[in-house]
Amino acid sequence: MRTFLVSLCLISAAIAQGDEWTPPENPDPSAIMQEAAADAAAGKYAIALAKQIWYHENAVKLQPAQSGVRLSFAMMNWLKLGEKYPPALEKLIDIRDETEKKMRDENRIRVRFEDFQDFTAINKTLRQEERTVEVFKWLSAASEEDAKLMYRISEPALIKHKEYELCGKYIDPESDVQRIGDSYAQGLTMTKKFGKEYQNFVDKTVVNQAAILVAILVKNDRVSEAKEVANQLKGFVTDAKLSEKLKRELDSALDGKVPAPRP
Amino acid sequence: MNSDEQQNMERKLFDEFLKESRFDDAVCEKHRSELRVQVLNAFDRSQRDAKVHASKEVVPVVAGNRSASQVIGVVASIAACLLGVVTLIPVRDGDSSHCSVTEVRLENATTDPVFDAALAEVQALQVSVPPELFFYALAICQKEHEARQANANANQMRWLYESLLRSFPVNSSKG
Repeated sequence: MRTFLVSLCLISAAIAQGDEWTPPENPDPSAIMQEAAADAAAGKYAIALAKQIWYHENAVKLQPAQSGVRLSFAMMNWLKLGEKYPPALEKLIDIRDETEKKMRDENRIRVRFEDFQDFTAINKTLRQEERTVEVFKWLSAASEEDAKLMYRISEPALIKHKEYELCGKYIDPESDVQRIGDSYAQGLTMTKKFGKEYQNFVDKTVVNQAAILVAILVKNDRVSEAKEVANQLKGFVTDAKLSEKLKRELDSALDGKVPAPRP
Repeated sequence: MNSDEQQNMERKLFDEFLKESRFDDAVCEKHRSELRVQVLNAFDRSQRDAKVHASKEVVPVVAGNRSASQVIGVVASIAACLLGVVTLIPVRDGDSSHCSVTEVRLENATTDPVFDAALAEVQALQVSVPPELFFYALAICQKEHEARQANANANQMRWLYESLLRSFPVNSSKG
């Protein structure tokens, strides 16, 4: 009982602290995200949560370049905070549920990419990707056009849940091969700027995406297409070591083994 | 009206149309003026090609109508876009977080300023996170970039399709 009361007092004090925080006049989203992590580490949980929420709601509006950081590093910080301070986790779940509600709202004509991406990222953070699968299935039934736009961000969750038939509906070998090739070529040009780790990402991504495409075709009894696509994909890579790895993965995919999706 | 005068008039009409056009996509809308330059260049090229390859007969421009050569020009512009010749590439100007279009290149369209800046933001924090999270952040940037490209391409195609429709004669000179 005494422990409960002490905890209650701490949480109440923390909530009061959080209410006190207001963003500065010209807020820098990146700095506020880092402040939130520092506050969490220092035990100032409510302030940390107020800053996390502010960052989540405002970062991309103020700086579009925050998009990648917002749904990855910031989500991880939020999860860490939630493990120490339950109201943070509750708030994250609330935001996820509100986003789902917004997407399912019958008055909205289209589902926005940003909403679906937020929803998917929060589900991944919470290890609840079955929610992504569930909403994607709903979207697929409600609007194939919207579902097609959201397929790429839903694909990892769909594959993890072995929804190969549904994946088969949204892959388009011709444009997917082109996308994988374009993305790889673009990635290689950008490694000059972003370095070795980025090249590692580009290499792993091309292999993974190629193998997934082929494996999904095989799983949907489209073997001849899968073989044709595999041959095209092999031509994209010239580096001997990577080429060998790609060949191995494609052969495995042609045997019907679906690789674990990379993010 | 000689063929040069006619071409100038057609170009002016097309230019006006491009000035009036609006995109749904914010990025496209932001860079509309640059796109306009590129499409007009493609239009000029197509007119030059049409001069070389097509019949020398000039179809008179009837008030309120578009001529056949203009249709050829628009079709050629659409073909050029489909082939990726006319592609808008916004390039950022130094500061990773505040981007602006400073250059438009014609070929090998590969990036958008938000993507470029988003990668830079992710990379700046790379040392403090595990590799898998770093890759996940990069993947988010990549998928957003692809979605923006798909949206921009869809808007561009829709707009060119509409321009093609508008380029067909409204009233036949034969009634």
